Order: sequence, then C-alpha cells, then structure tokens
Amino acid sequence: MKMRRTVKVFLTQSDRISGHSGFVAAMMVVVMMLIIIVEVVVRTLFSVSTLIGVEVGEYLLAAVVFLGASYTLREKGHIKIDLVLKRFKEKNQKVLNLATMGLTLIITILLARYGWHLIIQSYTLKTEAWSVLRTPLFIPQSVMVVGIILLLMQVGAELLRQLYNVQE
Amino acid sequence: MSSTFVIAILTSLLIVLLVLGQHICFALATVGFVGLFFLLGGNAPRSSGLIMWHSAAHFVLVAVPMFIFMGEILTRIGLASRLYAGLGPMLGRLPGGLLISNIGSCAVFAAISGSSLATAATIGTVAIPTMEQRGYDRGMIVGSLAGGGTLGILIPPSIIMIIYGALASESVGRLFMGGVIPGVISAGLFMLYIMIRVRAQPHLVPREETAFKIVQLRRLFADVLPAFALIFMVLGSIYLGVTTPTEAAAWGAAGAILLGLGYRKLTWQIVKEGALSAVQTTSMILLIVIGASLISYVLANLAVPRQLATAVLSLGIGKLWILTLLVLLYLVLGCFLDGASIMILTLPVIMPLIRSLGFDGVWFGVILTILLEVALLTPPVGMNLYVLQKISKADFGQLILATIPYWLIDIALIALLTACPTLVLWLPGKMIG
Repeated sequence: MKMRRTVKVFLTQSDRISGHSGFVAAMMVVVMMLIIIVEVVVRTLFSVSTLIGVEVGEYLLAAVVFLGASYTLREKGHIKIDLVLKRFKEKNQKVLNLATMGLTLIITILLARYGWHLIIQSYTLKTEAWSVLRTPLFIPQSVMVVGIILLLMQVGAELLRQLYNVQE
Repeated sequence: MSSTFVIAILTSLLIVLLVLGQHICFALATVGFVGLFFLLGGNAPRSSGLIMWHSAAHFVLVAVPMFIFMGEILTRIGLASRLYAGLGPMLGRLPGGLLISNIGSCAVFAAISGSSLATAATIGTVAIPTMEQRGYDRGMIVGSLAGGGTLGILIPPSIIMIIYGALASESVGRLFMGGVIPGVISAGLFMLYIMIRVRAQPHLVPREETAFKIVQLRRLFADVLPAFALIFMVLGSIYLGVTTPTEAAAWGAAGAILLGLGYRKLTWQIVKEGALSAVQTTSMILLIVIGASLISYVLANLAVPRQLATAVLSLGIGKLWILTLLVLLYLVLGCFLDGASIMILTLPVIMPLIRSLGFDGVWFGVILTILLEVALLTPPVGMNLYVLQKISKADFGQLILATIPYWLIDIALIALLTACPTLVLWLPGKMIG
C-alpha cells in the first residue's frame, strides 16, 4: 500500500515536470519566431548576414524536440499503431504494453548514455559552431540530454502507471 | 552480408514492434540500435549521439514548428469559419453549391496549414453541421472534404515537403513551388467531378436560392482578403528569393498573430496552446526522423541503398514499371502508417534508386506527396478515413465509396504529371534567387 502511494507521488510529479518542460519548449517556439524575424530585418536593413538566426534556430529546434518529448508522451502525442493491439484480450494488451514500454525504457537509457558521450566528446575536443558566435557545442547538446532524461522519467512513469493500474 | 538479408531482418523486426504497439519513433530507434550493435558493432553505437544531434539541429526543419504555429494560431482565431463564410456565397452559386466551396475553402486553408488532416478536420467541423442541415448528401459532403484535405499537403506550405527537402537535400522552396500547379489542377478536377456528378444526380444537393448581394462582397473582402494577403506574403517571399522557407514561416506566424490582434480574437491562451501544439507535432515528427536516421546510418554503412539501386537497375525493367511498383508499395504502407512516417522511413532507401533512374528530385517530391495522400485514403485502412469518420460520423462503407472518385482523380493526376513533368517543374524554374 505504501509502495502504491509512492508510485502515485512519482506519477504526479513526473506529469507536472513534463508539463513545465513542455511549456518551456512552447516558449522556445515563440523565441525562435522572434529571433528569425530579427535576423531577416537586420539582413534587409543593413545588408549583413549574421547567420546567428540560423545557428540559434537550430539549437532551439533541438531544444523544442527534446524538451517537448516527455510532454508529448504525457499527452499521448507520439503515434503508434493500435489497430492490431485492440484485437487482443485486455489482459494480453496490458502485457504487450508493458513489454513495449520496457523496450522503450531501455532505448531511452541508450539515447541518454550516448547523448552524454557526445557532450563529453564535444567538451574535451572543444567543438565549436562555425558561426560568429563560436558556441561551444556541448552547451546546446546538454539541453538535448536534459530532455532525454526527462523523457526517461516520463517513460518510467507510463510504465509504472500500467503496472500499478493507476488511472489518469 | 547481402543487402536483401539485412533489409529482411530489420524490416521484420520493425513490423513486429509496430504491430505490438510500440510508439513508431521508439520502434525505429530500437531497430536502429539493433543494427548499430549487432550489424555494425564496435564503436558504431557511439555515433548515435551525433546522429541524434544532427537530425534535430537542422535549419530546414525549423520551418516545421513555425508553419504549425502559424496554422494553429489562424485556426484558433477562427479563420476557417471566416473563410467558409466568405467563400460560401461565391463558390456556392456554382452547380454543386457548398460542395464546391468545400473544395475551395480546403484549397485556401491548405495554403495556410501544412497538413491534410488539419485541413479536412478544420473545414469539416465548420461545414458538416450546416450542410447536413440544408440537406446535402452525407457521402458527397465527406467525399469533398477528403478530396479537399488531400490538397492540404500538396498546396504549400506543406510539412511533408519540408521533411522531404531535409531528408533528400532538395530545396524546400522549389518543392513548394512545384506543388502549386498540381494543387490547382487537382482542385479544379475535384470541382469538375462534383459538378458532373450533381448534374447527373440533382437530388444529392438542395437548391441554393441565395442571390448574390453586395453585402456579401464586402464580407468577402473583410474575411478572405487578409488570409490571401498572408498567403501571398509567405509564398511570395519564397518565390522571390527574399527569404528561405524557414524565414517565411516565422514571418507567417508573426502575421497570424497580427491578424489575430486585428480581429480582436488573440489571447495569451491562444498563443500558448498554439505553441504547445507546435511542440507536440514537432517532437512527434522529429523523434521519428531521429529513429529513422539511426536505421539509415546502419543501412548506409552496409551500402544497402546503393546495392539495392544497382540490383533494381540490373533487372532491366523500365522506369515506369518501377514507378508503378513504388506506387503499389506506398498504397500498402498507407494502410499502416501515417504519411510523414512512411516518407521518413522509405526515403533513405528509395532516394538513391530514384536518382539513379534519372528522375528529378523535386518532381519526385511532388509525386510522392500526392501518392502519400492517396495512400491514406485508399481502403481497406487509410489513416485519413478514420479521422473523417470521427468528425463526420458517416458509415465506414459509405465513406469508402464517397472517397473513391477523389483518389482515382489523384492517381490520374500522378499519371498526368509523369507524362508531363513540366507541370511540376515550370514554376520552380521561374523562381528568382
């Protein structure tokens, strides 16, 4: 019983954090729009191309994708085929859901592991962006890995939700 | 290891995972890692971090959230109902009445939103209740929406084309321009079909007896012109080479916000929900891109796409037969997957083949876009059919019958564009910059 309560707390917190992370990603969409607009204005008025808009736009896109990943999972926004799944008995459906979610958990751990590897590599090799900003790449890449770790948390939450049969 | 063997293993694993209900993006990543660990081995899995990063931090794809954001804002400030109200009295006077204006509204809305489902669903929610009340045949209503929806990804901006451009290294601007003329032809053929059908069976539509009034003209200007202005601004700046499609998309989103302010409909809630919706779709699509690029990395390292292209070429069958086989392949895939997934999944393997057959990359992008739409409408299970059923509550059999003419027209269009590629390539060729 105590275990079940702990699980419920984790689920609530995980859902909440994913919500915040999604909100941050949403704000980045707005910032992305503004930065690109400013870049075009500057280019038209002063005929200089800084390409900062391009570079920052790319970082923001990666941030939107990964910080939005756990939120999208919570909102059931990642698509799957349930045509065949629906034909199984309810009990078997649950087993299959657990199995595929478990596999997803392993994959997410691998993504986090190799994402971390990339950060370390960029940091030690001092990889920089080619633009005027010369951004050390490990900084935006860290945002990606933070997103993957949040995704890992939410995948774990979905797994526990199935396991403990917690209604949303 | 022979490439047939590799493809067979990875494909069957993917099918099993998808059928068992793993999320598409994670199923792709699972197969990708299986390939990285067991087919390539060694240090190969370590590349996955960099593959992930390069697939997501891609400037061309920045256009995806921008265009979705723009479409979401425009939908939420009620542009669809304004469009419908504005175009209805105009196009509704043609034989076929509001059915024609369904196609027209879809075509215009297609130039605002990047997806076929969004187009059909948005216009559908406005159109279906009014039209059923007036006594239009239900099959004809959903048919026209399904057909109109297919214009959604053909007429630019189109999310599918942006992804194609990014994956196949083709200019998104040229792809957008390539979709314009086929989109207009397609809309014209759909309208023609409705007119002929209604002439033969007049009982399918009620008599529309509204005379055109000057008030309606004023309304038309107020409701439709701002939307047209926005479309021309976005597409025009791409055509003139003033901005890249990504930059045009950002301006479009800003334009949508200004339009919302002008209509006094914009709230913080709308901006927030629009942005959140853009986050969801972007994250969903790009995680699929990432999963698929893990697989393509494996395949490319084993030289599978090149071997496949060589093998197909050595069979000595004609270009057109290979194209026909591809059409059949996509029709089958459309039973299981959504358009974006199908494209992301098949492109890395198909593209080398297409190029070695000597097809133009922009031309094939447009053909593939039409083909994906057809695939999503064809029975037994097209994904779009389900959405249309949900919003229209029509009987599934009725729905299938009603949509047949539209995808037959689209297949005829593919044949026409194959016979006459200039229809696709003329406008991109006229682009400035």
